[in-house]
Amino acid sequence: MADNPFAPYRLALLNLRRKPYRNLGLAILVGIFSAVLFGGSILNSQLSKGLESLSERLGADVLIVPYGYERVVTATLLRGEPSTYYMRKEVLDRIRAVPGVAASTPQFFLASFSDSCCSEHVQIIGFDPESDFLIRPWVQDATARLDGSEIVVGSKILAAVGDKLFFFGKTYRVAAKIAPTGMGLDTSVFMPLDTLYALIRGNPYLPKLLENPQFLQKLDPPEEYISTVAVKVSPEVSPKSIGNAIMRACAAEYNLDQVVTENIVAETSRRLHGLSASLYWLAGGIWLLAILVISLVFSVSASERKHEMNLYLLLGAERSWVAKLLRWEAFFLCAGGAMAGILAASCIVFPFSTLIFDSLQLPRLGITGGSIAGHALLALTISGLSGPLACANTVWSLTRFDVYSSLREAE
Amino acid sequence: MRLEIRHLTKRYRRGQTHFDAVYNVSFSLAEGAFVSLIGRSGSGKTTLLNMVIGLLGPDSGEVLVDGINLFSLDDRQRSDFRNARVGYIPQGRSLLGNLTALGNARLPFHLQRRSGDSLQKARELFVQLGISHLENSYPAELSGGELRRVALARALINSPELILADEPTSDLDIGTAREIWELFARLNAQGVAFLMATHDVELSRRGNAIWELHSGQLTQETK
Repeated sequence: MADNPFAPYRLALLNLRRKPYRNLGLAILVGIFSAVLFGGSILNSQLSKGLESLSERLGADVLIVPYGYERVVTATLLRGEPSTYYMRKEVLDRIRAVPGVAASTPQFFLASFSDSCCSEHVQIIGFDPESDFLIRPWVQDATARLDGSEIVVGSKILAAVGDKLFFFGKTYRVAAKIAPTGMGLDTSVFMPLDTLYALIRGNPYLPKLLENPQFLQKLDPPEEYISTVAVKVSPEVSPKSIGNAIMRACAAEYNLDQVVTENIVAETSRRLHGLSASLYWLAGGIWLLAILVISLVFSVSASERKHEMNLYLLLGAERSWVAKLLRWEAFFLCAGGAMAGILAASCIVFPFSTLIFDSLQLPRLGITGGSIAGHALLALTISGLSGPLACANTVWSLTRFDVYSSLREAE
Repeated sequence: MRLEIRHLTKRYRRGQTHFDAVYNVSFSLAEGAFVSLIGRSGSGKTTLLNMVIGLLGPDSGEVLVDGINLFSLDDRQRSDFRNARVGYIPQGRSLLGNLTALGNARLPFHLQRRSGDSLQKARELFVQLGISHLENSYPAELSGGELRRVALARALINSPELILADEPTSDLDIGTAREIWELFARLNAQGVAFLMATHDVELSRRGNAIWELHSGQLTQETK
């Protein structure tokens, strides 16, 4: 029996060939289920990782920005949409004086041009190496060495360490690349504030940017301007209360607004959970439909196969052998469909995930090969087991049917 | 193998009434016997054959094989009995359409655990039955007589002591029916017992006993 040419699984494969179109239809249905399940769980996993990273990497509890730029800063942080805005730097000391502010650091956001003066149209973020707690944790070694001609780039910037990039006519060497964050930081370029101020000072390309009517102030001297102040609050106080305290202290004078970062995370999380729930409801619905259709088809075919099943029994097969044969048929049908579905979902999810997430305006992070394999295995297992589950009733009735009736029908 | 049937009854419901498909049937079948079981359609022949091989449970009575009641055994043991000790030739077209003739003949060999070479044995049987040229043909390509020969090869693959045949010549022309009968007679001469349900009175006379079933009752026994 070591190599049984008539083992149930071999006969099951032969049997499936008898009704190719019907079986193909069932396999496609299971394939759609597994594609939604696998694709959905991969997207969900990427979203979850992105969200974890978001709360981890935002680092600050409150961001103080010029009035009207709350949405802009959110778009910059989440999706890397480049923008330029600024406010007077003296506000920094006022913010630091507010009780409950544990740490604060200024940043300057400058959008490069999609022009011959710049390598890429990206967000340039100037940070203060002395007080920074947002960038430095991820590029600590590099920031310690960054000189005036060196920059750090996000993971999606097409440049390797040692490459040269130029912005507004000045060339910089890439000193380090930060790990993927799933956020706008991935498409940003980072340089110390002094380097950024040196870039701005007297730069012939900048007047073009500053002619934009939304920039009412001129960056002169640039050292007196920043775009945001990231604030970390003391553990015993709530970010919202400190944000409000800062607003009370200096909003009117400096025309400021606040972004409580947990709100960004909460909003993204809400959207994520809504999307995840939709995907899983859809997968669940298709799964039930697949089970129902397979169950119906197996049940309908049961009557026409009673004579065949009876024949196996007459020849000396045990009823459990007949049940095994039917389960293998259902398993192959579903496993085949599931593999095709997973393959189809892979062809859509992996090449187009950037497009999908950009259109959803959600942060995302790539997941490991092991995690992908785990999701595929889960989808394959659930889909594969759907077959035997769907045909359980048919198996039960076929293996306990009234032999006499089937014999009379055959006669 | 000594087969003894004691007071076998099988009752079915038809609409609001009950009827006895087989009623109080008793007989014994000696080793090497050749019994023809005759009777009209619906007389209970198939039901009786299926109880004899333990596939259909009786409402009362016993099927004793070498003194052991078949229905005291579990499904595995009864299946093993059917597979190893009995060859069954069902009525009509009974081959699996997705297996070749050779595949059909080999199948019972692999339904229970056993060692040996089913391929060689099936080929020997095909030579013996004059159908070696049909090894790779599918049932849809075979004539009625050829199908019956393949079914016989399948019944013989596990070297059974008893062959049950249900209307083995019902849809065959006279010439082919006689050939099939000759094959049975030859095997019987080699010691294989036969219990054959048939309509064919002329052919049935060639056996060494004729029993008649009428409305489920074994009404006549001729030797």
